[in-house]
Amino acid sequence: MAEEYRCSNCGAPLDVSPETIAIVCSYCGFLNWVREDLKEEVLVVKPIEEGQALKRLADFATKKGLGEVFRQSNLSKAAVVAIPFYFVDVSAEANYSGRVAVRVRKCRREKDSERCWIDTHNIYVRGVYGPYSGTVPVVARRGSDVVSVKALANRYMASRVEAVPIGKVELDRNVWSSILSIEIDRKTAMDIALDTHLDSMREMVENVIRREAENRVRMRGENVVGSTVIWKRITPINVKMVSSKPILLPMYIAVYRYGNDMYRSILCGWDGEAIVLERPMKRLERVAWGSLAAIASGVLGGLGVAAIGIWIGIGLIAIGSIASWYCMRKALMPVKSSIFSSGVLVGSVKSKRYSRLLS
Amino acid sequence: MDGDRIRFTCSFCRAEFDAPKTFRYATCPYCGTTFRIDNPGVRIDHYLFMVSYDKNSAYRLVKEFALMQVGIAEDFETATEFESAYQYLIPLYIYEVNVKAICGGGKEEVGDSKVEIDIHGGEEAAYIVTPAAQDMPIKIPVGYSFPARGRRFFKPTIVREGMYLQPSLDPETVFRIVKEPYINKVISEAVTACGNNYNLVDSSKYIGVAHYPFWLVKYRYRGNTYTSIVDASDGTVLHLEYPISSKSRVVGLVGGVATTIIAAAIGGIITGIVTGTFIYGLLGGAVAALPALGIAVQRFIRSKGVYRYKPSEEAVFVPVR
Repeated sequence: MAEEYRCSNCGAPLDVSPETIAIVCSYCGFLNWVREDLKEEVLVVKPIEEGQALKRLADFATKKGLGEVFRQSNLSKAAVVAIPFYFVDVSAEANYSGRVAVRVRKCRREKDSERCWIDTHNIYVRGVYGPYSGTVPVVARRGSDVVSVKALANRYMASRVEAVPIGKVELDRNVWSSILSIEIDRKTAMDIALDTHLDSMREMVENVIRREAENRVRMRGENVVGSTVIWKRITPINVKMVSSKPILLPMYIAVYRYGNDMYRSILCGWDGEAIVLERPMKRLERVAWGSLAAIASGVLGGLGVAAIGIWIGIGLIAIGSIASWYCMRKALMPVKSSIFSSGVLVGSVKSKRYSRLLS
Repeated sequence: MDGDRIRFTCSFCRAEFDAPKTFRYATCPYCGTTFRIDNPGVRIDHYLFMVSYDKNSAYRLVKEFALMQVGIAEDFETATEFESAYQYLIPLYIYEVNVKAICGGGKEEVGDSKVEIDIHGGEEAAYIVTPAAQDMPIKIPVGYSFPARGRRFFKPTIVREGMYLQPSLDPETVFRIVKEPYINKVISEAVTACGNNYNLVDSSKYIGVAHYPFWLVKYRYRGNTYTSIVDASDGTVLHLEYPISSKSRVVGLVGGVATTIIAAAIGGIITGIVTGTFIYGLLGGAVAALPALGIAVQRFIRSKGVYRYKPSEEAVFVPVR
């Protein structure tokens, strides 16, 4: 049933959702624990001031030739949001064994011609992989699994910025009111991190099994053309996980109006660096993508017809079709989004912070 | 009371009310407690996502988003007028999937911030939000990520306007269906890790039913009606019809045809050089360019353009969902 929560420091009403574990009062900045049983220290990375962040964006946009769009006079809306994360260090090894069908190409000279065929070797491999270690950032909220949020986490892991206990830092009132409540507890965060990390390790181990079998056949001087894992056993062992305390990472969202259009940008809250930037598609860019569609389909279509072998020809024409579809879609996109963070879509990231927690 | 309705006494506030027998759930109009119709003793957690955008804001979002579309009519901003906005509250079921398989003889040590497992089988952890009714008036894209932010306990007084749709699917059946691929994956991982010697631990749970608001906004442009759907909680435009100018249509169609002709010419030149025959390369280039032509035709053949939200393409922003 509905229950009204009030700040235990100033008595102001709290905007609590059914999953809220902890929430910062938007009036006084006091951290309230709705789930007392999960009470722990929360760390925060202090954001730079809004003006400073927007100035950084303007400078960055100017360097990219977008100074006209992202200027102060075009600013329609700016807001800071502090997103809670857990950073989970995971380390695991894997006992593996597998049987791989390795295909090799063999040729034999018969009178004036050469006869070639594909032979298969069944190779058994086994070993221990790892330790495979990494840091998995887990957003402590439901349904926030988007590129900009992942990019923010990666930027934090790559940087040396310090997170301090929330009680020991002075935050502006607009930052308090924008701190998103923590909705995932540490245990759930570790389960999510385990799933991400071990899925990634299983994929890597399967590649190791295949590669090891192929290499063994290559060492016999044979010409390997492909392989299939027939049977495998991958047992994760010595799995260790340590989770950080919840860490609040700030992010600026700025919306600009340029001409009739709106363009959004997301900035890293502690240094003002652009994470995601939407920019107008210039007429010239549309023409370029359209031309690329014509050239790619023309070249691949022509080569496809001229190719030796029907399947190679069909393959080239198919690639040309995909290229023309992709380029034309690009040509007609309303805006262009650029992401300025490496490894955004990687689930588990090698980080400088790793080993700080596990050691 | 007619025979199609059933009378309830709210177990929380003792108020009496009646609801249609066909409903799966009944919500007390006085205190908001939700029950299962077939088992009124069982209370259900019922949430409502807050409406952050009213109909005027939703219409403004539609106009701003339409202005960003390629080929939008030049006088769009001045020649459009609001026609109607209707709010639908779509029922959703919320589940948390958490399944683990530990190999036989394996040990798991779980601390506050540390976990150690010596031999592990498989694992899946996911948060699932799925529609709780079929044939809904608003088509939600597959994979649409519903935000957890702004979820509140349901109170009938919160719903001031709009159409409140009842959940019609059985939550346990839906849970079994949505959970099945996760359990199968865990079993497959466990079998790969330790054969059939594993213990499956299913800590998944049904969190509750929620209602999510969408606006169906209609506007007029030069005598024609255009429809759009806006997520009333976070402002995402899911569907948008917009007028395309005649000039843009001509440019778009000519561009599509020109792309195909150029591709055919390049293909022809290549086969002309390689094989001495022009015509086959011409055909090869034209065939490869057909998808590009198809996109241009689909986009510009009609004066009404249509945008549809694609979760995979749009998952860059929305950091606070």
